[in-house]
Formats: sequence, C-alpha cells, structure tokens
Amino acid sequence: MDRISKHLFSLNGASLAVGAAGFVSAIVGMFIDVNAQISVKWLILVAWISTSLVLILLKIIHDLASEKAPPAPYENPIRSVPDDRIFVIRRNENFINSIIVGCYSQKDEVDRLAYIATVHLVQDKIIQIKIHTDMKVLPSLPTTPDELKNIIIRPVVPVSAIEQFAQKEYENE
Amino acid sequence: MSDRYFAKVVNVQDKYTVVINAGKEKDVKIGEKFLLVGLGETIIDPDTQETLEQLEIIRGKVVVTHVQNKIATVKSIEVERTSDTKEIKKVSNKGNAYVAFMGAQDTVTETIKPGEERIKPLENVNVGDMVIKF
Repeated sequence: MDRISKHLFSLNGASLAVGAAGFVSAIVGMFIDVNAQISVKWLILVAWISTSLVLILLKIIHDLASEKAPPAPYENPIRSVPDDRIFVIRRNENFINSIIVGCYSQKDEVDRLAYIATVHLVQDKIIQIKIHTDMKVLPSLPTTPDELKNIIIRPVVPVSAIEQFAQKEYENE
Repeated sequence: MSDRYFAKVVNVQDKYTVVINAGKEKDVKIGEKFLLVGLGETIIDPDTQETLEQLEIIRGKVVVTHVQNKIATVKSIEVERTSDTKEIKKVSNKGNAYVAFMGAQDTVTETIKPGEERIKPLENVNVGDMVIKF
C-alpha cells in the first residue's frame, strides 16, 4: 500500500492527473453541450456510478497490495544454542511443517551438507531447528554471527542423506 | 499472558508430574495434551535489530490426569527407549569324547535383548513455565 501511495503522490502521478483531466475535458468538449440544463437525477446517477467504480477499484488495489511475496526458499540461522544443538531461524512458511531440513555450509560458493536437522518448535516469529545428524563437515557448531552467515538452511535434503537419517533412526529404535 | 500460552506451571510434584493453573473453569479435560516450555533468552534479529521473541525451551509433552476447578495435574507422556543389548554366547565342546572323533566344534548363540521403554522425565521443569495447547 505504501508503494502505491508513493507512486500516486509523485511527479509521475501529478503528470498523469493533468493528462487525465485534459483527456476528460476534451471528450466533454467534443460530445457534450456544457451549457445544457440537465435534471439533478442524472447528476446523482453519474455521481453514484463513479463512486461505485472508485470503490471497486480501491478494493482491487487493496487486495493486490496485501498479496505477499512468496517466502524465501532458505534461511540463515540468526542464533545457535550449542547445548541443545539448535539453530534459530526467522519464521518462514516453508519450514512450518515438521520436516527434515538440510543445513549447508557455504565455502568458496560451494554448499556442503553439514547437518541434517528437523523442525523442532515453531514460534510466532522464530523457528527452532534441531540438529539430528552431524555430517562432520564443520569442526564445531557455528555460534558467532560470521559463522552463522555461512550456514544456509533449506527444506531440501539429498536422498543419500535421507537414507543415512533413516538408518540412524532405525539404529536408535 | 499471551494467547499462545494457555496456562502456567504452578507446582512441580516430581520430575514427571506438575500442576498447572487451568482447570474446569478453563474447560480442561482429562486426556487433553499440552506442551510445556520454559522461556529463555530474547532473540534479536541481527540484520534489523528487531526484538523477535523469547526462545521457548521444550520441557516435554504432558497429558492431563486430574482436573480441579482452577488447577489440573499433568504427567509426562513422552517415551524414551534404552538401546537394545546384544548377547553373544559361545559354547565349546572341547574335552568331550565326541571331539576325539569329530573334532572340536564351537556353537555361537547371538541374542538381542530389546531395550526398555520408559516415560521420559520433564527436562528442568520449573514453576512459571508456560503451557501451550497442541
């Protein structure tokens, strides 16, 4: 909505308004006798139709403006809790179901699967991701902001890693 | 209290059982399940510096076992399983008269004893911890 109002009340918006006024006055000048006397009921009818149209258009603009962009397909952890082996990410609709996620370590623009994790707890603004399997890519759990920036969590895990996850689950049972 | 939190822990009976401050008056029923969480540190978004919310530390899942007007007793329902144990027995027939003719033969018996299932205790549950419906 802010974006639309910003564009509307700009130099572009002003030139559009001047252009629209010129167009309407030209049409009226060509086809309508402005000196003619008309009944008030026609005036009211035109005002009612215009108001209805404006309201419908405003509703369409509002609905379009409230449409959100799709959530990002990945998240960077904003915090880690080494004692509980938990990463904290911002709430993202791609992660709200109980799913297996992959934590990738990014080095030299190459992603390597560092941990297999599961969605542990979904809160109002954050999601806790619990590490299930350590792929021994990193020597220790990242904790500092710089280390966390190199971790990308995606709801995508390679099939071979899922098989490893299932094997570990089977061994635990 | 936030809408997310249904009640609070008001008494800790033992590591499996606690009392919450919601009962018949809040329509709590026997068999209803809840999640107990403790509130940890406040998480701040490092990019926007926006204060997001307090980290919830899971204490465990519980089920209502007794309901009074203003309180209810809840018990842990999560189950933990000890790992299976493998027993290998080797029976040797050395020294047997049969061995003199047929040679020594060892019999190896492998048995797997399944692990035991037991109720998981609530982790570090304290008075003031929050109760979430799920």
